[in-house]
Amino acid sequence: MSTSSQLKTIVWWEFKRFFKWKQELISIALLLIIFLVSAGWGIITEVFSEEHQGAVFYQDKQQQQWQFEPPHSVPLRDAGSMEIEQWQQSLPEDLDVLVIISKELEAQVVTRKKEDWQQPLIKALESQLQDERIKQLDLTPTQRDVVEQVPNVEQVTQSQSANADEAADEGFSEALPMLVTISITVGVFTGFGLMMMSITSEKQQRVTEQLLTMISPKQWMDGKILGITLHSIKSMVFLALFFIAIGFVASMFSGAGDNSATFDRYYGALLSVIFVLLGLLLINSMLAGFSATIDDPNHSSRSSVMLLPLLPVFLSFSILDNPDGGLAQVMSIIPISSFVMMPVRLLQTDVSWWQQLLSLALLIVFVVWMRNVAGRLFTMGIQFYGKEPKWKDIWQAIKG
Amino acid sequence: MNITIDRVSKRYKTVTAVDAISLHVSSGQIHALLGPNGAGKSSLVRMLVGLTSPDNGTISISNEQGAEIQLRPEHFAYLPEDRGLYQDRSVNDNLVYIAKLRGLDKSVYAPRIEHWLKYFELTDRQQEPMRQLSKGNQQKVQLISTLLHDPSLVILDEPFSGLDPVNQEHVLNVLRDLKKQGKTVLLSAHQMALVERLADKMLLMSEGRALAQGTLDEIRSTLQPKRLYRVQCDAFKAQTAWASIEQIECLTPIDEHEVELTLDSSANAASIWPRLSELCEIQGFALRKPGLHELYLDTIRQSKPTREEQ
Repeated sequence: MSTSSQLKTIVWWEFKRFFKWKQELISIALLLIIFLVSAGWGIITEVFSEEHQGAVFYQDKQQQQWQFEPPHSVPLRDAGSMEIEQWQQSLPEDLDVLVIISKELEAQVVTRKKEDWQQPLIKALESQLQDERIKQLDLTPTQRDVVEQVPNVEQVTQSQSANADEAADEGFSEALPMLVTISITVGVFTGFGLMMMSITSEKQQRVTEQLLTMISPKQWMDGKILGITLHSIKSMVFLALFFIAIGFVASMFSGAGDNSATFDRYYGALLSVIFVLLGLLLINSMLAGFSATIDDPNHSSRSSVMLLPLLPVFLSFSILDNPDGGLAQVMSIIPISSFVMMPVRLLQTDVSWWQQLLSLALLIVFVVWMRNVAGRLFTMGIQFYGKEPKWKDIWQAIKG
Repeated sequence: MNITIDRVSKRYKTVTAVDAISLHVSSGQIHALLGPNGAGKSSLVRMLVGLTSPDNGTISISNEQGAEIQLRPEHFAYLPEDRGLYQDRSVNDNLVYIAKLRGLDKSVYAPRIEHWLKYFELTDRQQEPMRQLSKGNQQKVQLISTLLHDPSLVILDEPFSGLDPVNQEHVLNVLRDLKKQGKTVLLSAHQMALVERLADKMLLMSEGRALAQGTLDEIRSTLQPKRLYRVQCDAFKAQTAWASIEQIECLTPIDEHEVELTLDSSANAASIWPRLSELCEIQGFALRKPGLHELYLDTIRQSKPTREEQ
C-alpha cells in the first residue's frame, strides 16, 4: 500500500475517532442557546423584572412645571404632604421607594435597603434633574446647545486601517483580534486534549505493537498530527461561525457594517490562515512527541509540562491592545508565538513586509524541525508502556 | 517462507533477554516457542518482526525457493502478547481500519471480515464497541485483524491466552488450516497440551537460552534420555527382588500392582525383561513417553536452582 493512502487512512481514522455527530450537534445547540440567551438577555430581564411601587413628593409643587418620569419598572404615585414625614421614618407596606424632590432640584430616595433595581431610578433622577437645572439657567438657544452637546473629539491616526472611511467597521475591527485569539486558543486546546487522549489511550489499550508492524512510527505520528489538526480547525470554524452570527445580528440592530472586501483584507486573512495552520501543526507536533512519553496522564507529572507550549498563546492576550509595541513585534516573529501574534497584528496594523516574510520563514523551518524532533520522541516513547522514558532518554531523542 | 535465526542475543540494561538463540523454521511448519515468563520468547519475536533489533546475531527470511527476502509488512501477521484494539470503536471499524492500513481493497476485506466473524460467531456483535465484548471475544477479533491480509508468515505471541477451551479449539483449527495452506506459523504459548497437538517443532527456552529444540520426540530424547516403563506386577515383591539390578536407576511403586521403572540409558531392554521376570512375575509392561507438560516442568525446574540450592 502506498504511504500516502496509509497516511490518509490514519488521518481520517484519527479525525473520526473523536468526531461524534451527537456530541457535535449538542455543542452547536449549546452555542446557539448561549447566543440566543445573550442576544435576548435584555428582553428576558425585562420580562422577569419585578415591578416596585413608589411615591414621589415635590416640595414646590405649585411652581413646578416639570414632572419626573420614572423607569417602567418603578411606577410612582403622588404623595401628599401629610404622610411624608411619617414615610421618611418608615415606609408603608405597599411602598418600596419614596422620592422627595426639593426646590433646589435635588432629590432624596428613601428605601428600606439598597438593592440593584434602585439604580435605574437614581440614574433617571440624576439625568432629568440636571436637564431641568440647565433649562432654568435662562440660556439662549445657542448657549443651551453648547451646554447640552458633548464636545466632539476626533481621533486622527496615521495608520491606513484606521482612517475615517472605515469608521463603520471600527467596533468590529477592535473585537476581531480578540475573537481571533480566542479561536486560536480553542484550536490549540482542542489539539492538546485530543492528542494526549489519542496517544495515551492507544498505549493503555495496547494498540501500538500491532500497528507498528504495519506502519512506521513517523507515518503514524504524521497521520495523528494531521487528523487532530483537522479537529482543531473544525472547532475554530464552529466558533468563528458563531462569532460571525453574533456580529451579523449585532450589525442588523446597529445598522453598522460596511463589509466591502478589499485586497488588504483578503491578503491579511489569507496570510493569517496560513500562520494559524502552521501554528496548529507546530503545536500538535510538539504535543504528539511529548504525549508519546507519557504512560498514564492521570498519574504522570509530565502532563503539566505539556501546558508549556500553550503559554505564548495566553501571553498573546495581554498585548492585544498594543500590536505595534516592541513585545508584540518580537512575539510575532518568534515561531512559538508568531502563529497567534502575526494574525492579530495583520488584522490591526500595518506589518512591514520583512517582518511577515521573516516570521513565515522561521515558522516553516521550525515546523519542519519540530516534526523531526517529535518523530524521534514519538518513535522512542510509543514503545514504552507501563513505564515512562527518563528525561535523559527524552533529551537523547531530541538531540537525535 | 523460512526463518533462520542465527546466534541472536538481546540485552536490556542488566538483563540478557535473549542469549545466542539459533532457530530454523521451515516453510509450512508450525513452530512453537516454549518457556516460562521472562524466558525471552517475546523478546525474540519482537526482534523477528522488526520492533527491536538484535545486539548480536542475524535473522534472515527466505522464500520457498530459498532466496533471501526482506520481511515486509504484507508478508507477515503479528499478534503481540501486549495486545488490544480501539476500545471505543466498533468491532467492524477496528477490522476495517486494520485492513485499510494493510492496503486491502473493500472488495477483498469485506468478505474476509464476514467470513472470520461468522467463523468465530461474532457476526451479530460487529457493530458493538470493543469494550462491550468479553476478553475472549476481544482476543478473537484481534486474531481476525491479524489474519485479514492472508499473510504467508504468521507470528502469534500467546494466541490461546484468555480463550475458553471451545475457542482454544477454534484457534487450533485455524492454525491447522493455515498450515494446510502452506503458511509458516511461529507461536509462543504456555498451553502445553495444545502445543503438543499442534506444533511440528518447538524451542524450549529459559532465561534467554535454548534448552532444547526439535520435534517432540527429539526434545524427549534430549531432555529425557532415560527410558520409563510402567510394569504390572506385585509392587512389594518387585521392590525387594529387583533391588540389586544395576541397570534399574529408579523404581517407584504406583500402587500395589504397578511400578514405574527408570532404566539406565545403557541398559538393553530386550535382555533385561527375561531376567526381571525370573525374579518377579510380570503381567505386562509398556514404555511411557512423558508428555510435553511434564518435560517442560521437569526441565524448567532443573534449569533453575531451587531456593535451597541458591
